[in-house]
Amino acid sequence: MSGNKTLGRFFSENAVVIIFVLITLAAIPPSGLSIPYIIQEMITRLGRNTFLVLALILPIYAGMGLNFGMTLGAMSGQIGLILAINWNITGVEGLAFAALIGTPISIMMGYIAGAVLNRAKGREMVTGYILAFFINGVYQFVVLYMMGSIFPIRNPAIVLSRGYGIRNTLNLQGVRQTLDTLLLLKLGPYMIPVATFIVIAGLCVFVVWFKKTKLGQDMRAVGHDMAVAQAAGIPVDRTRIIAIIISTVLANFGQIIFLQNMGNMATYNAHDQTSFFAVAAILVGGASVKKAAISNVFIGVILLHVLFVVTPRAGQNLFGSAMIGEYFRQFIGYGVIALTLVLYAWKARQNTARARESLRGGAAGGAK
Amino acid sequence: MKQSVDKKTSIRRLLIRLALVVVYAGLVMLTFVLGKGHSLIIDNKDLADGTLTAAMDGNMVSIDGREASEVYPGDRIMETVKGQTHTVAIEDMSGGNRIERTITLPLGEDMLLVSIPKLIAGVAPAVEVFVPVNVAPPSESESESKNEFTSPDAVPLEPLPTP
Amino acid sequence: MDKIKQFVTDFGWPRIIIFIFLVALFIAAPFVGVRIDASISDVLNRFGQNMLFVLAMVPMIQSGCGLNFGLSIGIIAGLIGSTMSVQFGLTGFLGFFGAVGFAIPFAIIFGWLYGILLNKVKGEEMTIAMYVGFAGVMFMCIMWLILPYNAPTMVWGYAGKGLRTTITIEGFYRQVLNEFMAIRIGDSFVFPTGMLLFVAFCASFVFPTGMLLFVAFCAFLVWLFMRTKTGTALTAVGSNPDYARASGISSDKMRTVSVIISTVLGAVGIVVFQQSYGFIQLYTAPLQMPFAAVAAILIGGASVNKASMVNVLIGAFLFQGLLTMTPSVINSALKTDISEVIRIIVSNGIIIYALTRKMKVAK
Repeated sequence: MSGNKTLGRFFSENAVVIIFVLITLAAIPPSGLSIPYIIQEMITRLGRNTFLVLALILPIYAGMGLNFGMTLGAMSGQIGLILAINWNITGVEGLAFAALIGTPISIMMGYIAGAVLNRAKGREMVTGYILAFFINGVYQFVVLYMMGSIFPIRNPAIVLSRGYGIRNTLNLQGVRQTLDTLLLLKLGPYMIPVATFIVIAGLCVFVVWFKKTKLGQDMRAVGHDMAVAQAAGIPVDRTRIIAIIISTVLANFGQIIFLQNMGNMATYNAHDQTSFFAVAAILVGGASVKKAAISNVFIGVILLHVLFVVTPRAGQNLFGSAMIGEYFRQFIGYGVIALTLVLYAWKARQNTARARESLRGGAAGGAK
Repeated sequence: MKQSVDKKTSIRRLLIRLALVVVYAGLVMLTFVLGKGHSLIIDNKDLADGTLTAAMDGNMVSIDGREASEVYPGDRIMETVKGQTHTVAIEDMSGGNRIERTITLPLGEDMLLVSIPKLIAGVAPAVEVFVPVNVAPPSESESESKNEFTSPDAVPLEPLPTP
Repeated sequence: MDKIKQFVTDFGWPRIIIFIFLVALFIAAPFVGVRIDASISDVLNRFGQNMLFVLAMVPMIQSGCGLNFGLSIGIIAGLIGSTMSVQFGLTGFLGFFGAVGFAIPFAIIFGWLYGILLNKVKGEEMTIAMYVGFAGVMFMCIMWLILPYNAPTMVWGYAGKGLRTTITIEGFYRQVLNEFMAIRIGDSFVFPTGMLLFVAFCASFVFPTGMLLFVAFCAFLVWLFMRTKTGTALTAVGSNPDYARASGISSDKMRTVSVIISTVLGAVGIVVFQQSYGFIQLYTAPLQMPFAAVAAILIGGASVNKASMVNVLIGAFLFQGLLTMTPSVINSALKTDISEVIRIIVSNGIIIYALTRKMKVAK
């Protein structure tokens, strides 16, 4: 009988992963896509998205939940790219330039986000989500109105025909896939962007190392229990802000990596879905609002993106409409975040209820 | 005792921060200079004043060791490059003469004209700012001032004049 | 002096600032060529259009479920009702009430399920509500494409299958409420030349009576309900769960009731919105609507766990006033269309401000 229980627990612990694998496997045949194609897409998307998802780890570690405010870092990186394109900086140097320009912006953004989130303790995720919208408005104001007018833009090709404001789509020709092709490995029919993976590996090493530092330990304590950490002398508010700042700067780099692979940038929309995809990926990989490991990142990116590659085609072939496939993909995406959040919250409540029950039972027994 | 320790650490902290700022600024400038892209227009035209002429049968021109392109007399080709210093290898298609020249591009300009006859003859400057016809600046004096080599850090960036 | 100070702290500085800003916009309007009467008419229109959405926030806030970011669920029920009404060709008042009638059963079912879900996740309702709402909208997007609607004005012309993104209700129930007993000021006389201008000025002022009456009626119903036994039980559950449990009130049941009411209000609200706006908007339109309602009630003075009718009225008016006046005045002043960006900054800034307030201590 205990065997059944452990099997049941295994399923409930990994429910999301299991559901995902099942849906993906079911969708592969109707999609009509070949396995090598899927594998290549998987490799490409791993290179493209992993960095962004890794940026979510530290805020979860510090107890701040899913950092929907990572969009702020993405916007900073985009400003860096706009300036790099403006001054025609090409190659990997262009990417590095964009990242460098984006860094002070994202530090400032991260500081603001951290301060705001500190004032909304207990509601960090919703606040982060709305904050991303808010800063999006500011970003649009800067890029659509100030650039080209107050802030001079040198390259007329990227300016709207009315004379100011950046164009809706930026061709990133000069830096397109420069990181990916820096060290390209051809393994059988597959192309592997080794340089990108080296960068990702570097970040993984950084995360592991960071968790061992005093600051990392502080974050863990804060994430575990803010009151206890405060009593132990840890500057709780400051630690939380630092976690968000690091996350935002990483999102800055991550978005640049993402965009260099895409090859062009939708100036006003590229960052809209960034947090959604990253959060969905880490949740699918088995992370929760309170706990996230590097393995969650990789598993999640693979599962989520394979599903995103396969389902639109499957939907199209099954229902005869590409739109349905697209909507289905978004439905699954939002649904899985909702499902994971529900499962996590439900489990948390069950644990507290169980704890309360045991306390009550114990007290009654003691009173007797 | 405590005060002096605080002072020491705060001075050290300040120095580290200053150093970080310097390193950051340095990196920004480095990536800028290393990555700056230019469009080179390679030109095999006779000079306007008739002093130099292009090779009779045309030249094979290769930049930085890339694949050579044929540039016939009067021809003009375009290549994009990254960075400030490049080697231009010119091979005469008829005679087999091979000349290599090094050019340094001014940092501030995007489109530059490289004149083959000038390069061969060693007349400076072989590299000039190229101003496309439809974005011509309103005043002539502006284009003239950029006719010579200038070292990378001396040229200030300026916005293109609005049409 | 003390009383004024008390009023200010109660009312909150941000609200006062926004109110002053709004008045300033109204004052500035004629100087930049924006007509006051058209503006007031616009503001009243949008106020009525959106008020039910803001009203829908109250039950769930009071019962402790937080801000209803999942209002999209109710909106979807309303969309089902209104598309059915147009499909069956119901016009005029029959069309409007038909839409409401079709929508309510769906809203009750959806609300009930949604409520059960929220009860299982106490403490994290808002984020989950948001994503459940999103997932629901996406699911309906698929449904809009495959459900067997076939009225010619509703489906894509070429394929004959699948609903259009925007469906006009001209000829169905467009403006039925608005036009009902509308008060027009001086439009019947048409004086030539010089007076023509003056008349045109007055004629643009249309008071959307019917809609405001209907909305006031709904608000009255909600106000009444909050005073019933169930309503007070609902509030008790939200403000003091332990006391509620001690009094024998099932907090779960009350929360579910509040979610159902909120969802139904959302459903009716979108039908009211449609008749004023003139179109049924399907697909991804419902995604952004909850955020506007949340911003409105927060600007009205509500907090995450306490909301009153006054909050609804003030909030809806200030928010819609701001959203109408700011773009029109600034656009005219700067001669450029900056309205979308302003809307984003203003409405989200307000929500952030409210989310970063400390939890209000019950007086």
